[in-house]
Amino acid sequence: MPSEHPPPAVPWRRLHPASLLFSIGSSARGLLIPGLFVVFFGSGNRYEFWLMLFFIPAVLLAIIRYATFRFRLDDDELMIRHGVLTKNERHIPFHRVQNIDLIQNPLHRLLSVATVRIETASGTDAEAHLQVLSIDAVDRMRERVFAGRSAGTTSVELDSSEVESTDDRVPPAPASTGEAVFIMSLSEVLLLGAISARGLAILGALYGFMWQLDPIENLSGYIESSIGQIVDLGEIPKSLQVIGGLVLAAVLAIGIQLCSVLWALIRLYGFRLERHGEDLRSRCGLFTQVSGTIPRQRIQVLFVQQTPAMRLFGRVAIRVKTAGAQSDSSAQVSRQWIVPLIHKSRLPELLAVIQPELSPQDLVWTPVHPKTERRLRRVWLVVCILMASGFWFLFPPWVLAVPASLLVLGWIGVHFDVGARAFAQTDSVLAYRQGWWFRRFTAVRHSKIQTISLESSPFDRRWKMATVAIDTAGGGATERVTLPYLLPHRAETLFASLHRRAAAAEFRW
Amino acid sequence: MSENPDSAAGSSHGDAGPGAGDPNPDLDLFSATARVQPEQSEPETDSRPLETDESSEEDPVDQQRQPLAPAKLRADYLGHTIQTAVFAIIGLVFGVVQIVSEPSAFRLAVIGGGGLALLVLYKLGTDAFARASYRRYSYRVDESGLEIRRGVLWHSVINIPRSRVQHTDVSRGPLERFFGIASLSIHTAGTSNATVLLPGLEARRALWIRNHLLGSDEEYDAV
Repeated sequence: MPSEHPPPAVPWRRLHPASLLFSIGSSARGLLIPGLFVVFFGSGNRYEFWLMLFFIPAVLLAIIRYATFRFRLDDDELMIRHGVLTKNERHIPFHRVQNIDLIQNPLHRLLSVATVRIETASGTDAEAHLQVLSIDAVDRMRERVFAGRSAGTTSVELDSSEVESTDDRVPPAPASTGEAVFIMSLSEVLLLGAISARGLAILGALYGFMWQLDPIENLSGYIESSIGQIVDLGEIPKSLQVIGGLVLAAVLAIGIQLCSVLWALIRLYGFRLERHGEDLRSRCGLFTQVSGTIPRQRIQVLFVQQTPAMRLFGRVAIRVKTAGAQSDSSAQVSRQWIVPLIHKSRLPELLAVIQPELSPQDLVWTPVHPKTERRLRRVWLVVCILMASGFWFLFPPWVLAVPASLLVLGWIGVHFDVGARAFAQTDSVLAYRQGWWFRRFTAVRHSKIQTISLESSPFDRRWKMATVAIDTAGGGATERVTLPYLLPHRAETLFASLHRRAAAAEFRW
Repeated sequence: MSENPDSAAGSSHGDAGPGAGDPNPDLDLFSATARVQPEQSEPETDSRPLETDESSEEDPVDQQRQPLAPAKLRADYLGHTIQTAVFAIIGLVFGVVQIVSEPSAFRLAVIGGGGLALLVLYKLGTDAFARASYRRYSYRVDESGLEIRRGVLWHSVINIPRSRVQHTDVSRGPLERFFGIASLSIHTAGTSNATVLLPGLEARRALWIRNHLLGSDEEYDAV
């Protein structure tokens, strides 16, 4: 929607001059590792230093990019112009913005600037990446986007563009004064680190990094030889070797856990969730501070999760799915885990803020098909028999204890799992809960449902069951909301009522 | 009381949870003591099959349900014939090379007969599947949106509310043009089911459905 205002009314703006520093810095970082290699591992050949000349075009490019990048905040949209040879102009209407993320590393904070990512519901990457803006400019931008949005969502039901294009400046919504909804204390952050298995992932990443430097065979050979240098394994009795191994494993486990705690501390330190009118804003990070903004209206799916460790401490976590870009940015992590860890007694009040339509007290749960347990037991039985018949030929008979015990464990697991599965529907929300060991509660508003399907596989038909699946915007396809093992008549009723309600509720991203 | 696994198991068997009576002050979404809808022990024989099978295609209640254009089946047949012909040519080349390299009547019979049998089997098999699929395919367009039923083994009913349609494509390949049919793909903002394909529509019908789905009452911000 091109505005009819004379262009000079709103001046074009440039990025903060510190942008130059950061974009040169990021290209320098790209050259740093190869550069160090040249310095330390190079053959001392002069020509290798000439390679560093690649740095000069990178600097020139950064300068050109800075000089040609302009943006403008109109009444209802953000305009961005960039490019030298190919001129680019991008219009992002405010009411299409899904979320705004802010990233500040320590250097950013020192200069009081931030990298801003603006996401709409398109594609895999952010719609606009502004590196970097001064904090003042960011605040102004947020305010403008929110002002436009609150006009679009509260006062107009049908045609938001109509109202937004009126010339009157919309009075800024109470955006600057947020109300803290949830603040995570330091001990909670440490607890989260301690009970999440994040350490293994870090170790894996570290391993991958080492592998990049040096093929794995060399590495393990190196470790072996260095241990061999310290102690001669042959001289130590077997029993001591076992104890030593166990101690080593324990140390490693503690180290992993410490890694996890450290990760949580760096990532989530000072986590706080604020409510600014209709928007939720989260902020966290020890060194690099990340701040994400999600309009409440734009939450597509809400999850409440509980791992066994969380249950031990009576905690739960709340996660949301938005339709914004799917890139794996650090900001997204903080935005998705809208409440990383909280005592379950505080859950109702938080849910009331995050998703007021959901009134968990009113949910009436409908269990799955009574034969589900029998069906899932049958699956385990088949799997275990197949495994056993494989083992029969390959291994001595006592190994058959493995599939046998697996069968017992599987059946116990199935029993609890089936008991935990249930769905509930209110006028505005469909809720589903599943899992006994890892528990998950899922809530989708009818207005966010894209398509509904009723499915039955040959197995379903044999057991007279049916599956209802719901597709929503955003998130990976793996997190599709599926309700399997339903009684056919219930599935059909649910399908019909979901369709009726989804069709009646208009979808506003 | 919320963490009792026994009660979790019990609730699946349908007794109304104890939470129904006394309001649980400590809300626990996972607790099985939450209110559970009592099992209306539906008699098992009474539970209808999930989808009306082909016999009830003439279900008087569901008059609006439309089959695909019959030309779709003919197009499939022709498509399979072309595929078979392509396979036949490839097979012929290989067979001739094989036989010429070491000529014998026995080899000729085995390779020729086997190849022919495979081709016939392929053509008949794909045709049979296309028939079954055609019979199971149906769709319904109404004020609220589009509903597609399909699937030979994995039955499914997909429902797309009209307001969720982002954009549509009507595409016509050479075969489809020859038979005067078209495929309609409907795109939503979803993820796993973001594009729904409805093939085998008469060309005019496809355009009509498209216009209906994209109808003029989408002034509100659907995107």
